[in-house]
Amino acid sequence: MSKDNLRAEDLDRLGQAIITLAKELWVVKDRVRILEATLADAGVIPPDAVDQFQPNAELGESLSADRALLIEQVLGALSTDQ
Amino acid sequence: MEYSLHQRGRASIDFLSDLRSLSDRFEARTDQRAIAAGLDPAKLPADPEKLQAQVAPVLEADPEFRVLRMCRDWTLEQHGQVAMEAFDEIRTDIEGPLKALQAGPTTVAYADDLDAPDYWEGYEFHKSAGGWDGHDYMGFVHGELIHRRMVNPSFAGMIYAVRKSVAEAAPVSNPEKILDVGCCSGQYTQGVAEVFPNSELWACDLSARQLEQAQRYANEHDLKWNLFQAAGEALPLDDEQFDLVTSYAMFHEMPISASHGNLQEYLRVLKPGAYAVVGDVKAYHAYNNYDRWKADYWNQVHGGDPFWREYASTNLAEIALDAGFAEAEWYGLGERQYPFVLIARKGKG
Repeated sequence: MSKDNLRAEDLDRLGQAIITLAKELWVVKDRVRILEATLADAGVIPPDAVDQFQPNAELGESLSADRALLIEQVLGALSTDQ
Repeated sequence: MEYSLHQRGRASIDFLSDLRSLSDRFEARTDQRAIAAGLDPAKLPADPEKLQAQVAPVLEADPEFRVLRMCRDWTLEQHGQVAMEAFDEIRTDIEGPLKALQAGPTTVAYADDLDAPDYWEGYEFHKSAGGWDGHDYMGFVHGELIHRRMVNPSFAGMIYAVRKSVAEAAPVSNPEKILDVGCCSGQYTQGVAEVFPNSELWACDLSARQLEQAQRYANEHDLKWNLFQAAGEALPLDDEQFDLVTSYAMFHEMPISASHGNLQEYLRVLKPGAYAVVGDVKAYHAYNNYDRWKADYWNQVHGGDPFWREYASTNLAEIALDAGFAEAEWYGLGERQYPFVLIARKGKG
């Protein structure tokens, strides 16, 4: 990647974007750990169930909407003054 | 072929694809601000270097433009690596079926001692990690995971129809024998086969890994293609045997000297009176000078396409006439003038 995409005046927005990402990432990590632990404890899923799982159309659309929201939040933080 | 990615690969590919398409919306806004700031297309210079000097600083001062460029850089530089990792997660599931598809009516003839041209050897096209041959299943990685799952959504799912439109522009009916040069993983070859289902189809490329993906597609669809590894400017074929020689999106990947060499070879292997049809990106003269700047900036200057400007600034019809074709025209298809096609006819004498 070019070394001059972002300039010094972009750094504050970059920091906001990183914090936004870190917050959202933690929400997901927390949720995944709780889900996997709960399901494993209950003997509901085999160890590779998450890797092998294929979303159906409804879940795929829901994931797509969540993903778009995450990207919008990051791009918004990067490109506009908060 | 049916296959399922594992969670990490699927989620990573979906993220790259969405990041690209969602960040693309910045382009229209930054265009509007640039025009409003006084970049009048009618007053901009036509020369690409002068255009870059005048326009790039205005856009690069816009924070949204810099974010757009960062997102495009990141997705270009990540997509090859992400796709290779996604493949390796499912390798044990998919390798058997992929190998099985290399048996069937479509064959690949490998070059014994390929003398690859300088413009091809070792270059990572479009900044993509792995280039054309950098993974043992690079054809599947590039053709399926990168192109079909990541690039095609950025073109509103129209990428295959656009390719097929070049075959549809060929002024021939029921050609007996067709050659597709630079077929890569066979995505344009599919369009040629759909437009001319009764023709004997030959196709070549420098990349063995891409040819193998074309082979898998053809065998899966019970098509008989004759695939072989060769450069278009050095075809291991006898004279005057094809009714149509065609190519898509290859000429902008090589210097004009190689385009000239290709057209000389097409002329040699075409029957008298037969046609060469070459589709590729839009010529610079068909853009206003602001959109010409964008095409030049995102591809030549910033997109890992070192020959884009040379190709798009050269009249390909003149190159074809110089190579010996009797007639040649070069024009854009449809209202958007995209893609551009060269239609060149060999003399009957």
